[in-house]
Amino acid sequence: MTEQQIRRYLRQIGQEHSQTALRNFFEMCYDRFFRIAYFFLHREDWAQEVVIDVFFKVWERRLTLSHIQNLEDYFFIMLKNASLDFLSREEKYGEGGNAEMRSLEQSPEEKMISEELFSAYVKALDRLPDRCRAVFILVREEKKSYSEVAGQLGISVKTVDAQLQKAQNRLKEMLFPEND
Amino acid sequence: MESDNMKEIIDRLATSTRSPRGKYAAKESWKLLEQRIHPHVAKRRMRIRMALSVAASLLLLFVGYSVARYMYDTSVQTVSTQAGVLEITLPDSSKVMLNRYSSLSYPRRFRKKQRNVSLSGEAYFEVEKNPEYPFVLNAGSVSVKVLGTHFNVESYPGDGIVRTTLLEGSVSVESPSGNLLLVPNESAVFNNQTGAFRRETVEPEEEVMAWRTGKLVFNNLPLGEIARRLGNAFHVKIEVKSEALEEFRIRAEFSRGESLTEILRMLSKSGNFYCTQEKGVIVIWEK
Repeated sequence: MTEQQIRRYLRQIGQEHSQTALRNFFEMCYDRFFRIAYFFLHREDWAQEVVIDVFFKVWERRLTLSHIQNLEDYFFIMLKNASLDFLSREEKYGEGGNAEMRSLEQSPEEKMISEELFSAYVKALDRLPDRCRAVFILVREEKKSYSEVAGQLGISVKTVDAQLQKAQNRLKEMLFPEND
Repeated sequence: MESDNMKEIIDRLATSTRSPRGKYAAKESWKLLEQRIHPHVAKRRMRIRMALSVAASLLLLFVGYSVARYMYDTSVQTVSTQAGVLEITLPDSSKVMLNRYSSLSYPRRFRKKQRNVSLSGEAYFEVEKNPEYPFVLNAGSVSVKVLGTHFNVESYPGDGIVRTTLLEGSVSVESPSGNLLLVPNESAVFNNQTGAFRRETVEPEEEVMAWRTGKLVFNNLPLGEIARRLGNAFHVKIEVKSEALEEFRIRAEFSRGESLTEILRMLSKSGNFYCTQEKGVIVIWEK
């Protein structure tokens, strides 16, 4: 996402109450917002609920959006708070089953990932070219084979490999700039 | 930081979250968001408005249908009596007293400037005056046209005669044999077998109309007529097996508490006859 683009959309949403701008803003940010919410919630349905709620709040607060300094951090914090609120509400009033509570416990690897690092990762992921990001997510996140991904995206296995390498290199650059 | 280390961290990052897919993808979620924000309100309002207009249309339809039904309902209802007398108020407020074992058919609503009713059995009518809407009573082969009057019609199917008795006002009685205009205390008697249609001056009012008060009044009547009236009142066939007995006149009054057996026993004391019963038919024999 480009900060500039988002600012324009937010301005249109705020000043013109443009729903087209909201739609564009939504399409630009939804995936990123979802990844952030899922990071805290570990449930797809909850993440969806929280993200929709956040977009709804953006729409409701559209008149004050222009004062936001750092959009990426602002939305990350907004999503984090919304997710944690959701969790505490879910703990109090939710179905309360242990199955849900178990999903909140983070695996040992996840504990090693700081919120800061994750925030950087989400930002970096968003800065990858679309094709590159898609390949990376399908292979690394969804654990699909190269041939599966090739079939799904209609590209050759070779291209999948190339795009994946590109994605990893770009992510490394963005996440660990001191190593350059 | 080593390259492998970085790769491992990136892998961990990749599995620390999930990208939206399927029903959680942006496309599906947008629909949900749309439902929550402004268009949602508009939609809901529209839905309410639509629901209201649908309800209003339905109500209108229903009212229209009901009115139409009410206006054009010419469906005929029939009221029948068994061993009792019934007072009926017609749609035009005319009053009808229906005698035992009789039935009256009339539309739920009179329309087209007509008030048509039909009778089987006996009934007394007090017709509301309304010159524009002639009241026509069909009783077997006879029809009575009235403009508001009090009259009594006897038209039991087994009788063979139709007797229209006028008590107040005026009626025109039409039969296949011609018309008769009656004045109060006159009867028009049509004979279904012979087609004879004649005028009779009637007994005092109380006697004709006694049935309405639940009484059986026989004021010096021939036994044949008494048998006919009893037969109608008790819904049985009563035959008199003697011409002399048929003309034998009796004066008697019963107040409906009595059973037919009791009435016949008391009557047989004043006359010289006895009764038998065969297959539901009561036969009166000369002694």
